[in-house]
Amino acid sequence: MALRAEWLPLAMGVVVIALTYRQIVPPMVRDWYFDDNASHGFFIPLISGYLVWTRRDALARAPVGSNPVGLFLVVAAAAMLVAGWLASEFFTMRASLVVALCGCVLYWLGTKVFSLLAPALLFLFFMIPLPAIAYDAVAFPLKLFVSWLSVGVLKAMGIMVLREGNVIMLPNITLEVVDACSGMRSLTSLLALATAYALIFLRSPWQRLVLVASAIPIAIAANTLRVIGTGFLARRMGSAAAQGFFHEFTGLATFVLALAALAALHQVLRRFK
Amino acid sequence: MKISWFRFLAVYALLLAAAGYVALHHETAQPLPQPLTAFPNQLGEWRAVGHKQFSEALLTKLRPTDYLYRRYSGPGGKTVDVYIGYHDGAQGAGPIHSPKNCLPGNGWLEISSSPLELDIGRERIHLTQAVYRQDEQQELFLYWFMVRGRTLSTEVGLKLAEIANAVRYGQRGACFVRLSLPVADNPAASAGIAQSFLERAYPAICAFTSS
Repeated sequence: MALRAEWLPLAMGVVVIALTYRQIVPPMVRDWYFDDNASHGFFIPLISGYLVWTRRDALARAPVGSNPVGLFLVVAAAAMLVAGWLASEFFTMRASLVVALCGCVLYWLGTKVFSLLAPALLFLFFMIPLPAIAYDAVAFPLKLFVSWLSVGVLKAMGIMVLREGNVIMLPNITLEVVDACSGMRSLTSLLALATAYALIFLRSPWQRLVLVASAIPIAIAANTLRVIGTGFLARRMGSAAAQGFFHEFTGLATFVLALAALAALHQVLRRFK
Repeated sequence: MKISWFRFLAVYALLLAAAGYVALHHETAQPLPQPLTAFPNQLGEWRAVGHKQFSEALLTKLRPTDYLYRRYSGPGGKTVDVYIGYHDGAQGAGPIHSPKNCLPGNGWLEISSSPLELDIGRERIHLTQAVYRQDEQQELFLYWFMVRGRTLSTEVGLKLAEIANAVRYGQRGACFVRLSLPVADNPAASAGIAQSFLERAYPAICAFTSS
């Protein structure tokens, strides 16, 4: 009820934030559309909105207060926006939006409301594409690891195979473990999904932590399976197994497999009250 | 409890001030004194023996205002590759791509990377010395960023210098210089070759990139 009474200044706040970030958000949405590594961004605000919806009753009852730390966060967000703009640093500019939202909620509505909205607000960080420098720092070692692991398994299966870096050489074809099959793409999407899953379905902090952390080994394992499968089929069927529709299909199947593994882990965790 | 309008107005003012600064701030291009194609082919005993022109696709990605990629051969037939990429900082100009991003993105694995300070003439230059590996090939890189004649070895330093220049001068021109050569059996010897080339090349690099 307390929040409803403040609809006018809150609505004006939404307009001010929209005006402030009008040059920042549209390019980010374009990244979601054009960059396959960022396409999960479309779902993040929707999931975040759903998280707010699930807390609507508690929000309606929550006492409104004010925490001055919120004003400090708004100052930090404004500084991040200007500094990011001057340095053409997209991640900083985009992250400033989430910091500004957190600051507004904390300063305008207080700690109690913020604690209810924090999961939804912080979840928005997943919509920001990682800076290339951070992405590559993780993706490349991951590619090497997936290649190394896959070749080990293929050898154990009796398939003659050699590896140079992220290039896998079979007698009839050479395969390259590229970004898409490094596990990095599904890792970022899976981490976001696992976090949403944990926030919606689990209550215990340790269970949430286990589910989110498990996204990392699950993404790596699923992609290793994809590379092993591709190597195995490429040996039997030739290059068709590693290209075009088949390759796209195995990518989708890998992600579904990873999701199934998350759901299975959720079922296991539910047994531990 | 009724929320004070002051709380709302304070936040509106802060955010709109930031938005206004972003909307009104314009940067002008910081041109080079002369094109990099005029960079000397002879640097002491080092002589240019080849150059490379980037493909349109690569240029679209890097978006330098001007660039130079040249191979120099020196005493004993040792070779050093030089890349100079200049970004004039105009609205829409591309940012400098850090090797920490580009090299791993192109399949190079970092073996080592550390900051280095070298005294050349009366100047102390700050750079990064790194070794990367791709397959069986190892390459030594010496690289640094230059902003208004200052050398910077880190990406964070570059960003801060760009911000300071954008605020003070309304310009954000910056340059990236990278020397590279294969590491044979002795990385220290390769570093010595790169540094001896740098001593010859640095005054010319400064003359061409300090606008």
